[in-house]
Amino acid sequence: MRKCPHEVKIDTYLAGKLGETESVEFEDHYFNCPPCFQKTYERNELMTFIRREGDSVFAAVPAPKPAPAKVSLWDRVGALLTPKQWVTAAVTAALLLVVVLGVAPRLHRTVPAFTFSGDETVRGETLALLSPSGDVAAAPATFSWKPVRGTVEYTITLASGSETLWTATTPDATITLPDGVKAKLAAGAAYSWQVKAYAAQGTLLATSAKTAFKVAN
Amino acid sequence: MDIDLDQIVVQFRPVVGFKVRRALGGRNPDWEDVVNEILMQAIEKIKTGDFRGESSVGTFIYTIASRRIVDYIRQKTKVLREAPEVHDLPDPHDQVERDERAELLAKAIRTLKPKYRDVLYLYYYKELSRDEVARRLGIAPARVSERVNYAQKLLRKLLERRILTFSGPPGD
Repeated sequence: MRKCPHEVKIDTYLAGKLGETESVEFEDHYFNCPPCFQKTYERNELMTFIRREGDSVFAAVPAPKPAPAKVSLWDRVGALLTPKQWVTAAVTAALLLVVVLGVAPRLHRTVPAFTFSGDETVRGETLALLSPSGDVAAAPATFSWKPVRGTVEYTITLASGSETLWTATTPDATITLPDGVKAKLAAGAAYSWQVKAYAAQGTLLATSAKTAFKVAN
Repeated sequence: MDIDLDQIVVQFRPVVGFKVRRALGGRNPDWEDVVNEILMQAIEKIKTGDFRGESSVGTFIYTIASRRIVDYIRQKTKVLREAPEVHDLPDPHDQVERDERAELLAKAIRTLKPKYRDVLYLYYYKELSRDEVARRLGIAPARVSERVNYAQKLLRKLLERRILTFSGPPGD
């Protein structure tokens, strides 16, 4: 049977909620449409019957089962994409993870080291010490080294083991050992010295390696 | 115009009856008289040529019915102010027939699948709104209407099988 567009209004009409104009329109319709009248009439019968006799009709009948629990957030999120799309997303995410984890260590290695060992220098410039070094015939009178461009001041440190014996600053690439310090240098003992080059405002330009020397017996 | 007057009466008696009972109230004893008056008036007008097919026959009769109902209610209101109403007792024979039909329908409803029975229970017995029924059962409101419609169809079939049709003169 072809569905009549007025059919949807039947319940509302029977409940008296259709409103006057629409009710009149609906009534006029079922006066002209036998199938709609049939449906309306039957629906009214059913409705009235259940209202009146419902107690006995439904007495022995189990109550309606409640609706299943509301759709969880998980289900709703899952429903955002189709299964195929979820697989694609997961694979893409996995690939990205592999790439990131694979590349990250490499990135680490290119990070510059911020601590200096004795051999390393700032800006790759080495400060080469010239003399004294190794065995020397007598206590050295002067210390000299290769100049570093841009240096405003050099600092020299003379040490015996970990004990600093003397330290001084000079703008030149050479310095004379004071007599007082020279006199302290003992034959057969090992000493080390180091020079640091500084630019204006105290910026460290270069550090030499610690060079050792020994005064011959 | 060639209109079969008997056919008109047969076709429209149930429709007019339904409308009149809704307007006057189900327990009003005058409804049958009003229905007859309406039908008689309609026939008269067709015979005298008052109705010339300007509208459909259905609309023509609906118009007569609406007017008669309005008049009746006005009259009734006047009368009510003057004297108390006396209700006729229902015919005992009709009552037996009614009970039998009721029992059959009750049985039929009980045999429906829960899917269809539940909507009738919630929608008509508990008188919940369509949306509330939908929420309770976890289905769309449109589905509720579908199920009610289908339940009605099923019940009609069940009753027909027991050689008792659901349709007929306006229910008692």
